Amino acid sequence: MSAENGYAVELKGVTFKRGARSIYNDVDIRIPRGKVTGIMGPSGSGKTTLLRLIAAQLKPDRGEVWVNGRNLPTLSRPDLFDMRKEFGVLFQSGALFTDLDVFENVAFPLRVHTKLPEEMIRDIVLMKLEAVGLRGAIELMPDELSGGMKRRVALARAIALDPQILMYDEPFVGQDPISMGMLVRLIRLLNDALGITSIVVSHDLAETASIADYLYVVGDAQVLGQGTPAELMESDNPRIRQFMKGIPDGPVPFHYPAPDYRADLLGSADA
Amino acid sequence: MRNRTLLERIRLLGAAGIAVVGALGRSTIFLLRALFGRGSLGNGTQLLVRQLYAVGVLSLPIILVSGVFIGMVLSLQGYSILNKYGSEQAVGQMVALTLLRELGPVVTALLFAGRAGSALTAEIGNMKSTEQLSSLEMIGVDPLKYIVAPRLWAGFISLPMLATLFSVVGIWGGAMVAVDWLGVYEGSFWSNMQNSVEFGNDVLNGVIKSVVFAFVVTWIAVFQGYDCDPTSEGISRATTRTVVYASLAVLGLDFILTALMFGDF
Amino acid sequence: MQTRTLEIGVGLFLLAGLLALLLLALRVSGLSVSGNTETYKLYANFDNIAGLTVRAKVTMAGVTIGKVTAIDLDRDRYTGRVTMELEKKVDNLPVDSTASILTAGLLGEKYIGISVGGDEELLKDRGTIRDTQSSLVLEDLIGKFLLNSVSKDSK
Repeated sequence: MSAENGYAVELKGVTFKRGARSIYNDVDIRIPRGKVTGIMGPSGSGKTTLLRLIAAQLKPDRGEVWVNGRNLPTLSRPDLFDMRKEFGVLFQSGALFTDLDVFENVAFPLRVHTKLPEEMIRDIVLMKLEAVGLRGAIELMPDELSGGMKRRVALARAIALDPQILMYDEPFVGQDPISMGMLVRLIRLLNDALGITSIVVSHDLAETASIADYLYVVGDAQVLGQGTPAELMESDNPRIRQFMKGIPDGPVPFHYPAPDYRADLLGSADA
Repeated sequence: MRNRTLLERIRLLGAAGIAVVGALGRSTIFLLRALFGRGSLGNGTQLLVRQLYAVGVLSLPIILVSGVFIGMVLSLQGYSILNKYGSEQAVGQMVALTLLRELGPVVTALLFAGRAGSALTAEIGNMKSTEQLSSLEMIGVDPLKYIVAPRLWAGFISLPMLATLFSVVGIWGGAMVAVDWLGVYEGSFWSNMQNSVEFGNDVLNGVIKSVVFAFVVTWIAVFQGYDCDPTSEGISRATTRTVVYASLAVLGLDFILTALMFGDF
Repeated sequence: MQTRTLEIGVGLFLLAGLLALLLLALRVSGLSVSGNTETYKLYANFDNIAGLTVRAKVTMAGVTIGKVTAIDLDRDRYTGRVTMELEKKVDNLPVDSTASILTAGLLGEKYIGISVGGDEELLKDRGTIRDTQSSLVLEDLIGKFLLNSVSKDSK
């Protein structure tokens, strides 16, 4: 079904609650195969939660999450761990294993999931590191790397098993312009060269818009809008306009909901 | 108004109760999954060896040094009291029994909670906050198997070993003070000890105690790390909780175990 | 190489732990590996064994030659019957040897001391030492002392 219809990931009527608060309410998202899809939204709108739902680290309260023709919430725990080999995830912090050096970090998925001979593992690791430009750093420990380098090593590790779906969680946060540029180029390059389906979760508008083929804007537990970056820029939905143009006050208010200002001030004088 | 506060208090009590039961349930499932869950890793022994080093070998210095000093102090105190009754050769018996039955298992468990337990909590909490645990899951490796299980086993194995070593160096320190400094006759020091210490009753019961403590302390430490808020504040709170809960659990269990083992009922 | 030192460290640690347990067994609790040295049994009846415990030493001229293995009441004679196991090589005890319950120091452990008699006949396995001297009971001693001083006063 969904395996053949050109979508790698499909969320159908997904509802996810944390306590009483709905993070997502009956959301449908479809991610096209082989393209870079951006998922954008203001901070705290649950973008990372969405990634975790797709990776089945979280279970939706209702709805279906189809990945490559399988409905994840119905899979057993061992099946899920098997399924995850098809994913690569680049976490916000890189999440390198701090007790292993760069080489072992990238080799880790290979050692766990394959029985390849040592020389072959070495070749693959070197190839992946070459792709991110860090072949010279194989002997360094993670805490000797800069933030940008960590993310690139993590990227090399994420693609070690040649996943079909690669997810990026806020890849641009806290990067200087140079490493930001490198990452943007890398994401695009990997996508085109390996034919991977990429999902980029971010609130960095310009960078995401520059590499994404298709964008979703989420907020208020809903999908606010979707389309190509150009389409969204021209959207007349006020909430999307506010986000895309970066206007401080609008449908997303500047003030956190509060009782009336005057009443609050005078009320405190009464007490 | 008063009614409402009373109701509110009952509500808070209920919420706290639910939280406690919830944590117990989660930690039990966590333990069972880590120890008996399906799927093993090929390099399991290597992971275990690494943890035995981190948890056991690195705790050795503090355990050995404390053991010697506690043995020496016991010997000094015991001598000054027993001397009044002219039975200072019973010092050996007193030092050995105190160490084997109580101080060996208990003090080692307390030191272990402070040294290795807090380190385990902080390490796992840190892995959680830097998304290393999530990252493992995404690579398709169960962190319960890869991170948690070897640490649990390392704790279970290390603590009884450390407690035994603690008792031995303690007795040695006690003998040094009593025999070499205070001039207790060496032969009666040891023979008195050997007459009163029973292998099954005293030595083995002490080892059983430390096995129980090992189980509880490691479980608490690892679970607190795994269950903490993944922030720096959350980790520091979890570390404190590990030391407090583990110490209280050790002392409470020690009373129960002592009553069962040495009490007359 | 790094894993090697690590493994050696862990190996030494485990070895030390087991060695420590062995030490506790042998040196501290006096469990002997050669516990199966050949022994033979002797009995002795005491009027009062107060304080003597199982596993107490049996000595002769200050040398340990065995241990107490059981203490029970001899129902017919209303005395405490002590079972001792002595080393086989000490098989030349005359039948009129004396067993007495002694105390190491004023309040120390109790043990049995055997002093040799002069008879030609020797004690056999499961034999009984007839001549015994009971434990020194502090209460009796104090009682006697008080009685003595009272009777002196009344004179």
